[in-house]
Amino acid sequence: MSKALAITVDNFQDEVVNAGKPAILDFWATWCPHCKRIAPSYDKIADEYEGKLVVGKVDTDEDPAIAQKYEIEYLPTFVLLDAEGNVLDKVISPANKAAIDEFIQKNLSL
Amino acid sequence: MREKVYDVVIIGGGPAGYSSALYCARAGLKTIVLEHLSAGGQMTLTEIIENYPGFEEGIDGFTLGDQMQQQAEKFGAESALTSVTSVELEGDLKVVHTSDEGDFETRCVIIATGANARQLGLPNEAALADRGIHYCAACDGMRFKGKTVALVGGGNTALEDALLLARICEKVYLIHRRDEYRAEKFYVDAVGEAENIEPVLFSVVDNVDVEGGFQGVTVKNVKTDETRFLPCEALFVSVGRVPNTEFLQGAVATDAGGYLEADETTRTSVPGVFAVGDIRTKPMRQVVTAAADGAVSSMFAQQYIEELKAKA
Repeated sequence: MSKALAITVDNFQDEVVNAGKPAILDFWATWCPHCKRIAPSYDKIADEYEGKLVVGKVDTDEDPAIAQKYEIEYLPTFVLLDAEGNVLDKVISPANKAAIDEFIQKNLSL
Repeated sequence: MREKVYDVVIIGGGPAGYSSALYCARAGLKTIVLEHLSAGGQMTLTEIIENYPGFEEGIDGFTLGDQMQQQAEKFGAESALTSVTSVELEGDLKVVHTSDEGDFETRCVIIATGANARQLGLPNEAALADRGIHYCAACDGMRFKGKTVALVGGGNTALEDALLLARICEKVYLIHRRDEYRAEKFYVDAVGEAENIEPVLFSVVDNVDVEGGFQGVTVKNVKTDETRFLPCEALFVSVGRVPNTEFLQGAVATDAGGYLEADETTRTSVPGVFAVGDIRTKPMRQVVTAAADGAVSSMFAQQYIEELKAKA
């Protein structure tokens, strides 16, 4: 089973910007209970959208620069990017996997 | 439809659900837990649980949930990450429909979906949950020891929570939309006597200021429309709870508060359907009472399955 990809300042350009496909990024932190609760659902998203969408996770304590770039105020925030790296939409603390699915489908036809 | 028919499908993977799974699996029943987030339910949001026996130093809710899942799975219980959309509970073989894992056929259904705190409906409320806006004074009050907090509500639980916070905190603003509380006289009198509870009546929460950390709460007077800023470190919300029963569509009898009617046997109005944990009518909703329900449900699920076999 594939899992969400850890995105850092080092691989951000290659894995997200140059991937040639849309991406979803989960901005999270190890101390955030809501982040941990949604994590298994997000791994399932990574599995189901494999090949169509880059499904990444950004540890905001490890890589605060990426969080600043996307003006993340609350955790977890999920940011959806188009294939060119432009922000399509953001959602804060979705309730479950179905809510993440809906967020993706609302913005992209995958 | 899966080929496998389960003895027990447990909906909800909190302490009630996984305790039930542990006991059912150990009794040799084919058991699966359906959970739409990580194991542990509401308690995963509690930083440290200090009132579950056996953990002298306390344990964080996430770890406890994870351990309960692993313990149940060690004895053969299965888990699936999915949302239950609807159920068919009539008859000897019941069906549980899910969002993305198909249908599950089962002899028994154990409902462990819990109840969530009713929210105020503030725009940034979800993001601030447990990070400035709190729904459980007994769980989170200690984090604000010696500080000033606000609490909104006017029922028994709200006033009980205000009294609890008043014992821990320096000051408690008690925000209520009317001038009289719905709570019983005993609580109203006690609040009146508490020197560090300041009632803020005829008022509703307008917004919370979190610029550079939690700053306080702005309330609006419902009679005059005037606003007032209450500097504090947290807002506790105690305006009732919402049992998670939507997917049942009225198939199981509930009490006036919407909780599933079941006595200490956990048996509901529908044969072969059991209610455990916070979803059940009960006087006290805690991790330890949820776990107890789970254990009890396994005994009556076994009994029900034996009766089904005898009938066949």
